[in-house]
Amino acid sequence: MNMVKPLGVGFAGAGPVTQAIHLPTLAHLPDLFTPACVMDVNGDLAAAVAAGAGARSVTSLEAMLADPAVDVVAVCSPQQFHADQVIAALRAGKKAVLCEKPLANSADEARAIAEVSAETGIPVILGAMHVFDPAWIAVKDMLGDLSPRARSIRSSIVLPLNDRFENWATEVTGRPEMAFSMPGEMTPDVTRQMFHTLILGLAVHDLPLVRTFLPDWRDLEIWSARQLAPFGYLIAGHAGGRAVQLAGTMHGHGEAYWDLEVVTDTELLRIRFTPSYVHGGSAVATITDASGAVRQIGPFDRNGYVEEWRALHAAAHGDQGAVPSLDTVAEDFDFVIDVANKASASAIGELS
Amino acid sequence: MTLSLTIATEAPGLQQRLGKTLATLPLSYRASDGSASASVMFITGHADWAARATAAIEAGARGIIIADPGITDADAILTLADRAEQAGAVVELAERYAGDPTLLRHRADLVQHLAATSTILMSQVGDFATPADAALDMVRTAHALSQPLTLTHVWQASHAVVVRGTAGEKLFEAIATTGSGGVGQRIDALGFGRTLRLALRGDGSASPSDLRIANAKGERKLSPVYESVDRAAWLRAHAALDRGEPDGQPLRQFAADVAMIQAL
Repeated sequence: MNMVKPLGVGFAGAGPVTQAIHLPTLAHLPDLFTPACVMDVNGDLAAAVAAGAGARSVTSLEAMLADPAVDVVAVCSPQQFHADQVIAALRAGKKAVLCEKPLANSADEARAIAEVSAETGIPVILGAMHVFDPAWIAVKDMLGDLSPRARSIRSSIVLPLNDRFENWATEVTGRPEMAFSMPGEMTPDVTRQMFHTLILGLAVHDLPLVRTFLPDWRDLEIWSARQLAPFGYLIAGHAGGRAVQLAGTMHGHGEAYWDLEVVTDTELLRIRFTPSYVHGGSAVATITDASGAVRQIGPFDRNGYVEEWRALHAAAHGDQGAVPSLDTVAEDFDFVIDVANKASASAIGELS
Repeated sequence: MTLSLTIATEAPGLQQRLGKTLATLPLSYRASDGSASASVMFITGHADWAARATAAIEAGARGIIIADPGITDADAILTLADRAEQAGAVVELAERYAGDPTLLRHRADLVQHLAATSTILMSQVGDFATPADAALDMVRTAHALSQPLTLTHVWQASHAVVVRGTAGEKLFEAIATTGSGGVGQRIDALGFGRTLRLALRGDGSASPSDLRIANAKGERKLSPVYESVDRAAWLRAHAALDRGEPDGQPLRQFAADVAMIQAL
């Protein structure tokens, strides 16, 4: 019988990510975690969310970090605050930190997080549910064979607007206005901002997986980057002789298609992920060989959200091998920023 | 009563394929016994297929069926179109993707739904003779769906080719990769109110392709057609010969597609 006391979780930010992703996920893991504190500069929002979770509320990060009931911190604030808040949690001596994607705003910030984590010995994991998806984990065990033979990689994210799944996950309170709206004119600045928002907000989920199949990812060259209507991206490029296509868009109907496809000389690997927010089980991976035989991996009843929290629990108790190293996470972030920079440069080049 | 046409192939490699299709159309076609020239010739789509088809018409064939037509000289295709019309001969293309029977059965429905989309993505896996041949397969499917495609860019990686362009107001991008697992062509047409997902088999079998349309009501799978590309092409050729109405326009469109790719 597990007699270990559940870890108290402090949430930095009380928005939809905390409400619709992490609090419902913790409800799947009552033996491991308990919500302890919810911090938001909007005191009413923090109080409302905390009341539903049986936690206390505060309006400053300092107050939350000073709370002895907070063992681990989940940084779910807007991304411009991520680096400072993660580092503050590390300096406060918490047992572990989960940071929602993206890890930071810049490669320098990501390196700073890695340095403080190394210095304090406190693990930081990135809230990237696909990295922890049980189907992907199972596929990763076969990558020694598949990855060297990859010829093209395709990430295709075609999703309904977020509120559909948020509303199934929980009753969201204080939902902010949509942060991104289509501008009237695509100036270079608007184009750059749009691609960074979409890459760091949507493509970021799969880019660590894409990187796994691109040993020469630092040599990425973008051939083409276009905006998809009403908002989305379509990017094509190559690295080390392997073609890459990234497509992402949101729509107004109900079907979700979230696929990662890798073509090798003799197999087609396809991983179909479940939508964000809801606990709809894991992804399903299929590997089709030249004879037409299809090997299926998954679905598993656990999803990436549950698994990332399990990994955080293990890391908080000293199992550093339970989570990707911060060097890996920082390199993933370098790749994400590289894609965003090169794609926006390509798209801006087409404006002139 | 169905007119039975004699059919033969010029290529030993097509003999088994001819036999399989012949077995599914025993009233419409019979194998040529070699005592006289066949009324229909089944020709491989390799290299100089247009010139070989023209030669077959000159030799007396009333119908030509091209198996998997690939890149060839566009002017030779136009010459074939002209010569076929002059001779009253029918030329039918048996294209592995653009001629997919399930696709063609639902073409009107698909075209209607495609009008409400803004992006067409294609992904193709399989062996291809040249990158241009792979691009041609994808372009031909777009045209089979009545999309006014204009290609503007082509790029190549070690084992893949990517083409980009527009289809009217829509964005178009397609990637073809050489590989032997998961062979086929997939089309994703994206719109705010609907998504089309078409998975074409391209293996020459009678196994149907999978066509789905999703909108606010949910996802709908279109009814499958258990017919091979060859059988459907043979039937079209037979019907055109029955009508006595050769039409060179599809060949001219094919020539235009070839020319567009070769111009990149």
